[in-house]
Amino acid sequence: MTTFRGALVIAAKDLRVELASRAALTSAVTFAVMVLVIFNFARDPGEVSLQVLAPSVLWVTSAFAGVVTLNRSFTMEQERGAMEGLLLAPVGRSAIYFGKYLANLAFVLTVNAVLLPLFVLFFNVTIGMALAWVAALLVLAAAGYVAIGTVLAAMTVRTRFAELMLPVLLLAFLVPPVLVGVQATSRLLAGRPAGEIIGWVRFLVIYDIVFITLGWLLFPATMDE
Amino acid sequence: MPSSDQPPLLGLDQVSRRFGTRTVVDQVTLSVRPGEFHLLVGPNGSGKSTIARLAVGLLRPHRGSARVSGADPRTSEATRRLIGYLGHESQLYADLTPVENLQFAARLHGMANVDLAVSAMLDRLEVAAERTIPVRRLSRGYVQRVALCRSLLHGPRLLVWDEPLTGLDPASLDRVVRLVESVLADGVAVLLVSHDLAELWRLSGQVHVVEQGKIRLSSSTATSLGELRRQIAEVPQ
Repeated sequence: MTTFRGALVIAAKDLRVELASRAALTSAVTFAVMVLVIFNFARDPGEVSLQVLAPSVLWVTSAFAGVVTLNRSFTMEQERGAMEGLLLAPVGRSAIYFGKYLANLAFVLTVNAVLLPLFVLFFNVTIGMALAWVAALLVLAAAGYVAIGTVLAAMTVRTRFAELMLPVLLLAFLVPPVLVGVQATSRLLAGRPAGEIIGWVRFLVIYDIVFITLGWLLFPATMDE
Repeated sequence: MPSSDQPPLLGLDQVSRRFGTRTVVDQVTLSVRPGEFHLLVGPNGSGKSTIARLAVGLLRPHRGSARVSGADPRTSEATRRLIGYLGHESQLYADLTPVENLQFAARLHGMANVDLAVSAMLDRLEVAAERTIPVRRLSRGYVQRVALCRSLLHGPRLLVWDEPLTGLDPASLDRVVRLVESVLADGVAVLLVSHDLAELWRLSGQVHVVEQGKIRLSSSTATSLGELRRQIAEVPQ
């Protein structure tokens, strides 16, 4: 079986498990909504304007909601020893990695798809090209941090405090895309031309290439006992 | 039918495995040819399950080699296709139904006619109305039956089952033993780890007594259980 086909089979299984349990998406979406509500109502309108606060809230919420979904990725394989079934299947470790990556990316993008309209609603963002660029940046950033997050989730799942370890380890890798995303979103929402953020877009593309490649190369080592 | 002319499907050669400083499996050598039945018995913690995991490539030996059909299952995808393994856990996803679990396993093995193969396999172990209920809600016995189905689904040539009779009622137990008889007749090599000696003694094959990570004694299931116990008592520690 090709790596691509194996990855699709594994990703489809993860989506099916999530559809049946709704464990990861429910927690991630609830988390995202709660953060948006808290920031929206806890803010002192006289001190901090919505325009200043909005980009940071969007990116931090998106990144941490993503971490919530990543945590579930390998715990489902640990329950009842399902990982043994994957490891003994006639597919390479790369197929397992890309299958998990595709499913995780789909979960994170689904959370973002729920988050973005709520963000528009709570922060009075105008719907237009700027918002389309913000959505594209969220996709680009997710493609990179989900790649390294998938490897870290596989590494930490066998530790005693997996659910705490993953956010701590992933935080360092989340900093660059979140900083870039906040900077670019601030400019876009302030009505600056899209040409000003091309440098940030290039950075995110390189970030994606680096971490997808690293994830692919490092993942097999995380599967060894 | 077993034949000593055929090359071994499973070959463990002087395999040792440590966990930390403790040697759990110590220079175990074992060959299982097509159609042969081998049973590992021994007290808890003697290393039987570790031998099974080393055999299928879930663990890496610190010394020696484990080969399935002459290749290392850890590195050969084609070799892993030959193995049907069931360990202490079911390898099933609790939120999926038995049908969905088996469909996934079939697709992962690149099987054609997935629905037909899954249905036939569940029929074989008489999983009927339970096939569309999430595994989370099934009884222990049904989970074990579905897990056995999963390990057999892709038509493996080597079966390695660790305590396959756990949680089964007497009728299911008999059904599984008959199933093992039929796969042996088809030339499948079978290595079982079990404490249910009385049931498995019906099968003709080799029994290996494992103690402190070593095979202390190898005998035949033609030997009576009482005779085997006498032989074990005579083996120097």
